[in-house]
Amino acid sequence: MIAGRGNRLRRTGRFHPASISRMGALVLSAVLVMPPPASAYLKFGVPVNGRQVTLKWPQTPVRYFVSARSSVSGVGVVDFEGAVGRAFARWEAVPTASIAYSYGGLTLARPGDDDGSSTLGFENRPELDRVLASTSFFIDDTNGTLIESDIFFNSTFQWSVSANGETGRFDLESIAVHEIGHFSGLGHSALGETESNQTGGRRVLGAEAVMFPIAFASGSTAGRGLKADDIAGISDIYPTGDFSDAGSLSGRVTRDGQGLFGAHITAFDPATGTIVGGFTLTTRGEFSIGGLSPGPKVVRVEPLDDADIDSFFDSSTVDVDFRVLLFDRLIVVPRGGDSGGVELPVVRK
Amino acid sequence: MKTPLGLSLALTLIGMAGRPAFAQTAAPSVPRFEAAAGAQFVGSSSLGSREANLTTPTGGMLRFFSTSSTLRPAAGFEGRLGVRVARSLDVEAFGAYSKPSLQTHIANDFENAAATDASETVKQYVVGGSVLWYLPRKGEPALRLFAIGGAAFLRQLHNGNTYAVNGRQFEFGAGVKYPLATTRSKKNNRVRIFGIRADGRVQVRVDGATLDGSAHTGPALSAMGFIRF
Repeated sequence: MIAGRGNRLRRTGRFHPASISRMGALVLSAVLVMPPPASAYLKFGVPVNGRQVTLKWPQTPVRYFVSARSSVSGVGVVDFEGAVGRAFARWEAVPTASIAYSYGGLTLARPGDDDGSSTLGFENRPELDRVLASTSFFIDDTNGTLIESDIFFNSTFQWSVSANGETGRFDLESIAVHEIGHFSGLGHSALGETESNQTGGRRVLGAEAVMFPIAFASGSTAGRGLKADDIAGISDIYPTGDFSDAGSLSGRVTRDGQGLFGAHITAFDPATGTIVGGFTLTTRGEFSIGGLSPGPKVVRVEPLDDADIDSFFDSSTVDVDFRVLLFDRLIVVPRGGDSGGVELPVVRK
Repeated sequence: MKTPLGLSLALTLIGMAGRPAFAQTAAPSVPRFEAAAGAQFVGSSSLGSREANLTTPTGGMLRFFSTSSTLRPAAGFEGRLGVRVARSLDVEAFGAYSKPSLQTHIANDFENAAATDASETVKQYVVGGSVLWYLPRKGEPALRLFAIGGAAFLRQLHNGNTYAVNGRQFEFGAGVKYPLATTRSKKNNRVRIFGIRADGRVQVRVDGATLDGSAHTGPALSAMGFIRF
């Protein structure tokens, strides 16, 4: 979900709340469901028979449709088809991921309709004054696989499909790239820095993942391109053989010897300049960042303070009372293997 | 005395054939081969700088933090096998091992985290070849100055051999050899020279051994004992 008001936009971690279960399917409508610890970034997980299963499409290509009603000021249906087509193509082009999509054409259905078809389109939702777009899911609760996923873009806002963006209008392609990440099973990334503004919102100063929960300001097209964090995430869910070289970095974040939940860890590769992030996902402070290029990594830990915590987790359990840590060891990620557990001790603010 | 022609020719031929054999026993052989082993000191070498950046709304870059990596100085071992191919020219095969620390300085954090140095130990193996040219000299001074240049394959093993990086290393410099003792075998009149050798070289590393893919230079010194035979 992407939320905003004027130039103060944020994407929340909440999913579309209005979906209804059908025929043994489970509708994912909560805050992020935590995946098992062995994951990077955030993948969606669903409980199946008492265990967490990574949410994903069981087979590809994933067929999607565009609502024939998808027309707003400045964006015709054909423009809409083109913009979301380019957004799907960006995810499909990741060489280390096998996800693929196919366009099924126009439909009279609306996003959110429980019809077995994944539909994208505009919806007028003025009450969601910070929501730019939202993705909902229908899930087979027997195995945790996706049955249907719909994306609506809030026509309350002004949209653009201009190649270079338009002042005062949100770039449809950028927002579609983010929502298609959700559509494919990815949660939010915390790789970004923001500042608070006078109205209580946040302004993005910089982000290094299209899955960062807060959108760039209107007029920006900088959110169209996938980053290393997005590529690692989608490749982790739908790996190809080329992904077998990727390794992982795992360990614990502790304060006074106790594990911290919800700490944000980044792994920076000084050889490539890429950054991939992850979170501690247990009360023992355990984390595992997958999809990393082999080699030494610079590790940084920071509290989750650049977006609403409920964009990621249940805020009552996330501990943000610690200082940013630049770890004093380079952690080597082996080719196709794991770094081995490393303890990252942080101190209170 | 009159000598029959046939006998005279035979003696002449025998004499000619026997002359080289006589010369070999009269003069000691000049040593062609050299083996050297000793300690090496590899100086600090930059491996490049890289910034961790975030993308801004305008498509620009916002510095998250910056890094600068260095291969720290380390002592190690070095061995060389050489053969004389011309009066003033040797070719050598060499190998070296050292265990430097890879250190990355992290600074300029966006949230003002204290700058720190992160490091790990690297095992570094070098195998290569070089050409050694003795500078012209006047008389027979004990010290022999030489210039040296070569190329090598470099392999770095990180973190308990869990990750390996290959690269190339080029080196050039100069050195000196000083003979300490000379022996001659009574059996075959062969000469052996024992001595010490010191080299100073500039090493240029390229490819995977650098973090930014650029060429980076660093100094190396070695002190070895040698035997020439």
